[in-house]
Amino acid sequence: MVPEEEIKEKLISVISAYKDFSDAEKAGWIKTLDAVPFDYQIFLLGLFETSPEDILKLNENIKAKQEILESGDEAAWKELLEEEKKELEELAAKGEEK
Amino acid sequence: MAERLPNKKENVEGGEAFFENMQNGERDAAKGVLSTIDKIPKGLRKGILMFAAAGTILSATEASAYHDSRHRNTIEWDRIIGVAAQAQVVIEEIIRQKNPYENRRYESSREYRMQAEALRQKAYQEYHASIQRTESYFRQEMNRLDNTHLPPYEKARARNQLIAQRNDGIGVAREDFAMKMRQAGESERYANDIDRGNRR
Repeated sequence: MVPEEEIKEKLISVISAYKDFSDAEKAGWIKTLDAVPFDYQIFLLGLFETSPEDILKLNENIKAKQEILESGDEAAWKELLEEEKKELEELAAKGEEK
Repeated sequence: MAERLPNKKENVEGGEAFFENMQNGERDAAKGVLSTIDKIPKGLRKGILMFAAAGTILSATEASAYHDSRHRNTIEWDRIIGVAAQAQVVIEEIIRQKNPYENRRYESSREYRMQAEALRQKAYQEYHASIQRTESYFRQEMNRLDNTHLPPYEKARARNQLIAQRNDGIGVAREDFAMKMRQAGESERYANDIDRGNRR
């Protein structure tokens, strides 16, 4: 089996087994896998295997963005991106302190 | 109205190609993030990849939703593409702060990335506006034609001409969109080459 197929198969398996996802969420994640670049698939597999709590955070982030897109609230979208930027900058600052 | 459109199948296939183009745009933005990710501290890497992955998954979900409903506003894509681009901007700022030696190189690659992003935004907006104009003109003329008292043969001929005009308009808009997306891809690749040290 080629690595791409192997990683995708593993991802499908961990998504299906992920207890914090509803059936609809599992189906949604599996449906989008073909559009996710291979490097990201490897990253996601790593998250499922080593820090599943981050998958929940990621899923919440995606859902929040979907809700904003549904509502068309431009200000909320900008605010969310600002929060993300702030969070990344804080992570960067922590890295500096170490 | 649907039975009047002989090229419906072709239009649907064209639509799929269009969304494939959009997803390619998102993939290019994602690749931009991935090409520089190894240059930043490990602790930050995960955070950046998480937000960029969210953008990639979101774009795929939205494409699928559009395929299912065919009623979503394509302008939403501008915002989705912005997610991966946002992560890229943060990465570049951090790299610049940490490594002034490479400052010039990243300033330069950033210009190309911004150029690519602007081209993509322009492509989406112009495509959307062009399709709206074409469809609006088509509907207006079809209504006008329906209310005229022409012999059936003349009416059918005029209707076919309108359909052909509409399909031509959509075809031109798609070609234009594809061309702009290719230009954006070129800029993105150029930026990646700069980041990898292959160009300055």
